[in-house]
Amino acid sequence: MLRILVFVLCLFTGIAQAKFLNIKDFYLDNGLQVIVIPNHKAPVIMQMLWYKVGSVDEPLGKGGMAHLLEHLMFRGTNKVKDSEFNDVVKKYGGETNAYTTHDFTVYHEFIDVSKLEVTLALEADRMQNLNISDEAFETERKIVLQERKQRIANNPYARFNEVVNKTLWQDNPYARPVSGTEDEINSITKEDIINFYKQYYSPNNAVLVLAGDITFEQARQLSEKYFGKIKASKINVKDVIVSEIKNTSFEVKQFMEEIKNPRYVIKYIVPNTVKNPQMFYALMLFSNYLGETENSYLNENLVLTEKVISVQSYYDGLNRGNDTLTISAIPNNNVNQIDKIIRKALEEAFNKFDNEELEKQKKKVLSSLIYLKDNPQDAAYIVGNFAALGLDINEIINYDEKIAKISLGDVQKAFADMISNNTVITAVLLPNIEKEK
Amino acid sequence: MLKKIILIFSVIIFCIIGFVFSDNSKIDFDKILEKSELKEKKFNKMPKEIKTKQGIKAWLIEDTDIDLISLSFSFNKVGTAYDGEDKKGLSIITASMLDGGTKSLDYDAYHEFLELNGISISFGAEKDYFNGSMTTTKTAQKEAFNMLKDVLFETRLDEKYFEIIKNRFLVAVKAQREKPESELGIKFKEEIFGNHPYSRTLETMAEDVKNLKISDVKNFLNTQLNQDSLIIGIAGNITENEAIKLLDDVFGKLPQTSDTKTIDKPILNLEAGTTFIERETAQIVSQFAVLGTTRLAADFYPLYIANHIFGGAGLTSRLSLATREKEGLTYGVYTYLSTDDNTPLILGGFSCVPENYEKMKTILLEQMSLFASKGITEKELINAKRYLLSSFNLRFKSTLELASMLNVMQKSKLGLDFLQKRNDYVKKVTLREVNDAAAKYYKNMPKEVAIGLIK
Repeated sequence: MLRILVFVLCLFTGIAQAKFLNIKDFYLDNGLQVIVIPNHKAPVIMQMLWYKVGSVDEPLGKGGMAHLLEHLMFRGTNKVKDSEFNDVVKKYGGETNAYTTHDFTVYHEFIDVSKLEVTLALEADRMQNLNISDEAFETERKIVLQERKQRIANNPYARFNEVVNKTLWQDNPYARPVSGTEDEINSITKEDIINFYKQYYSPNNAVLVLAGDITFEQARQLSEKYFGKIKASKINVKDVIVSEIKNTSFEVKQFMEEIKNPRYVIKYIVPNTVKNPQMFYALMLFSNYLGETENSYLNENLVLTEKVISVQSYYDGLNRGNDTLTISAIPNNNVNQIDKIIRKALEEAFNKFDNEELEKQKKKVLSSLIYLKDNPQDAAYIVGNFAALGLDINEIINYDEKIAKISLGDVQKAFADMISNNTVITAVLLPNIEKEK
Repeated sequence: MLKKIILIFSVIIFCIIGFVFSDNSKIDFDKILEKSELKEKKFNKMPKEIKTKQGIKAWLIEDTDIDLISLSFSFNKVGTAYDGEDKKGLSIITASMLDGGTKSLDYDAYHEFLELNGISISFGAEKDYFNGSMTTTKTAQKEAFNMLKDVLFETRLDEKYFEIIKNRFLVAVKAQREKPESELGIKFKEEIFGNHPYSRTLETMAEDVKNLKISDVKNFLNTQLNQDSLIIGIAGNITENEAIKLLDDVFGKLPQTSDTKTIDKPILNLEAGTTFIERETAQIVSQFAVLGTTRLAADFYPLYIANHIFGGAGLTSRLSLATREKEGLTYGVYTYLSTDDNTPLILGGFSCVPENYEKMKTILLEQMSLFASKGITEKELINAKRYLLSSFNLRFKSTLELASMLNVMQKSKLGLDFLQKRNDYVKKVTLREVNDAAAKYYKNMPKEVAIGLIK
């Protein structure tokens, strides 16, 4: 699942251009937002259901509830018993999976369009009729514990990343791992899960995306047919705590036996972009210039001059809470100077970012937009994320114009806000051998 | 009183009706689909073979629905297994050098050009093939093909960039020992392939890579790439005539043939048993293999279906149901087929905490043995076929995937009419054939390599 996420995030620079993506949205009476992205190249369709709930909504000490619920959604309803959900999707030739993030829980099916009504019926059914046995609950808890061992405990980079996030975010819910800790996973009860499900799984807290060989009219009729009768419920989605930490710099040095090459990370907390999408476009363009491509400033000035083995920047910009800008690098036998090298390069990169460079970045991003018209799965991911965040559909429809309008001043302001807020962590991951030195 | 009785009676009737027709009724999915307006459609863009004036062949799917073009090409017998005994890793280093620009455009100028025009060009080497791919917008079609030609024939062979790439390679070698599964992968290859070139890993290439010279790369480009070993798949908004002209322009300069290298057929070491790499890990990770079949063998489709049912169908496979869904022993367990002529294998893997390992292994072996002795049910066959037939259209979802599918179809010698015939191949398979394949291939105890510590 993680791979898909990384892929999607990589595609941020190629977001939907409605002029060729032809998106429409509408709301059912119960509040379900439906977004349709017709793509008639092949008779297939991507169906995604985004619930606007994630691990940030869990009560303290009950980490991992949103994720465990995501697993249990495949474990039976009043109508589709036990593990039949997977059997049914498979039998009709579909692929299904789901993932949970800090902010969202997302279920998706990719299927031949002639079988779409099967997955619509299944997804509508489990929005309202979840019914899991005690046995299935306990088995799924075991599976989730195994998943955490596999993804985190057995992966040195993932363990390092957890330490970085925990230190940087402090009391903010983004500090906590989406999977929950082992103790937390063990403390969750079936009642906790049922209550969480009843509280957050409702049509008025969800976005349905249909991308593929379908017309707007067909999508309207079918979403009404399957989801129209589901009652809305009172949803009280809390605002994620927008970080008020300022001027706090953290440093982490971690040693692990299995590490052979040192790793370096610097991560800035930047203001939330939901209420200020301008910031999103500005930082997205800046990060693209800084270190997201082969032709980036950092690659040219640090890799090709042999100061680092590799370097990337990554702007994580569509969150319910604060966003982040991260630079990660593998030092070239110079781990003691790496922080200085990266900070200096960041400052220089910013100082050299002028109007000419801005226009170049715009052209690069705009010329890649056409690729979203190709693969319905990519389009569904990006558009779904925008919508689940509560951004107006016009932000997506006019994406190209929004980018074109960004000025040098916008980028300078976004960067200045990031630096002046000064909530930043630098972290190095080192082989144990370094500790002994 | 009467009213009250009627009322109570009505409530009872309502409850009964409510109960009968309540939310607990099963959903009849077949019935839903019978009434559905969304009818089955065949993907109707079929490939054709084109031949350029200079004799270069390619398979093309023309798709005017989108202004993109994808090209996926490979040179056969030019991969990592074919690198010279003292030049191991040369094909990988060469692929990276092709990313370094052209004689007239340095690394930065080259990548800036690609990014400004929405073009991507990339190269890579696997054991039997040297691969390349390009995707471009229709608008930049001409420039993209020109650039591909320059990259291949006017390659920038910059000394400094060459050292950077070699250094990066050596860092990647060390990184392979950081995660348990990548360390396991190295040992697994060694165990199965012994001293055969297929056992080569970044680690065993490292010493040679250190000693490579830029003249080796030059030599590789001049002698290893030729028209006879070239396979091309092309898809998107391009006509046959345009493709013929552009392909001639890019690949026409290649020599017709060069010295074809051969490697011995590997002797696969599939001796049953487990080799353990002892390392402190949170989970034991395991990979295993038994003998399988080749892509064009008569029992390919029966084994393909058998494997789907046994371990290939994700969470609904027998193996996953028995270990994950029922027991919660693992997050992931799978099997898949390798069907190259030289590597007919059923491969699989799982990971679990050390205390679950023995039970996982026991269930895996029980399931294999049961599968071989009892085979599958008629219902399992019907469901597997339904999946394989209904999921067929999913492979046509993007232009890049169409081009690489055309490439793979040629590598596997599936024939130009494969897309029309494939579903018939699946339909024709009988229960008896699947059970024969199950009996033949799953009766063998697997060769396993695992990493971790049993506690």
